[in-house]
Amino acid sequence: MPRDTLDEVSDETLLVLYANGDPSAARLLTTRLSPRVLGYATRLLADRAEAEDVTQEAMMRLWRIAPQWRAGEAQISTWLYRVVTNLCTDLKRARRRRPGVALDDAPEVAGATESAVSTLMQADRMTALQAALDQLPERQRQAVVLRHIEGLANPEIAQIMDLGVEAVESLTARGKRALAAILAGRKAELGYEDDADESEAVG
Amino acid sequence: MTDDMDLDALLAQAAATPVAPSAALTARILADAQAVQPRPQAKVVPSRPRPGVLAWLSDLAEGLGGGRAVAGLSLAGVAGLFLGVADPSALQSLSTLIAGDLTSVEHMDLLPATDILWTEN
Repeated sequence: MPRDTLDEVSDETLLVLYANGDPSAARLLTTRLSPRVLGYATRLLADRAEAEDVTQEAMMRLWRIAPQWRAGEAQISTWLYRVVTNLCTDLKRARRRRPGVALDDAPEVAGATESAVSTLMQADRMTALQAALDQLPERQRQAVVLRHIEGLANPEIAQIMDLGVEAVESLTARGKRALAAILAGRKAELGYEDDADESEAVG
Repeated sequence: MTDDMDLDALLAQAAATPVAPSAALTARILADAQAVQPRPQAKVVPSRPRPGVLAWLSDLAEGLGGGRAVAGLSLAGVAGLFLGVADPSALQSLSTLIAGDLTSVEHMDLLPATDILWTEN
């Protein structure tokens, strides 16, 4: 199928074409989906190399399921977000089991927090946000990232996280409050006070 | 950073900052895709059209209703030919009756070969 025509077709159609042996479909699906998958995994794991491994594995699962994909049952992006959520959860469990990185290892957590604060003082807003996200409980972080960074609607997040919509709303609200609390007092470091001053000066 | 507006702005900025996959990652993903992609199914190639008389006969057979219909027609033709060529002596009495003097008929022998059955011993 010509490339121009493929650009306009849905992810699901592309997956069917891939399953039928079309050589262009995989490239287009990768271009469309891998940035979202990698972005989500990076924000959950805060580790680029691990996020890349998760992205490759999630996409591999998509390729493998292509011949059995049941049309209309779920959106491919929703399915992928769910796979990534589960892979990241498994990876974090494995991290906890590794000696030296256990969550109950108080000195390391304290060191990480100091490092996060130190990073916050030097780095840009995105780094500060990532550092704050890292401190959220896992489910809150997933919900906040999916809702406010990936821009998904609550019903879709509910599908991804296997929760009810109300539970998602609650998680997102608590996550945002926790983020605000973590970042409280850092307004000047993040440049928001300067922005406010400039706005007032302009006004 | 207690303002909801500030936090929303920060999150919006994150949303607008895509995480681009490296060329190496894209290559790995595509290599995986190629490795597990199902092979294209073999296409059904239509048989080559037969030239000349054969093609005409084939079209004619299709027009008459296919192979079975043509076989039935052939059988009927052979049967007709047999009836035309075979010795008509068995029908001689009947033809004499029809072609002969109809007014003089007192007795019509439709089955001349069965006389023996009527003979009393």
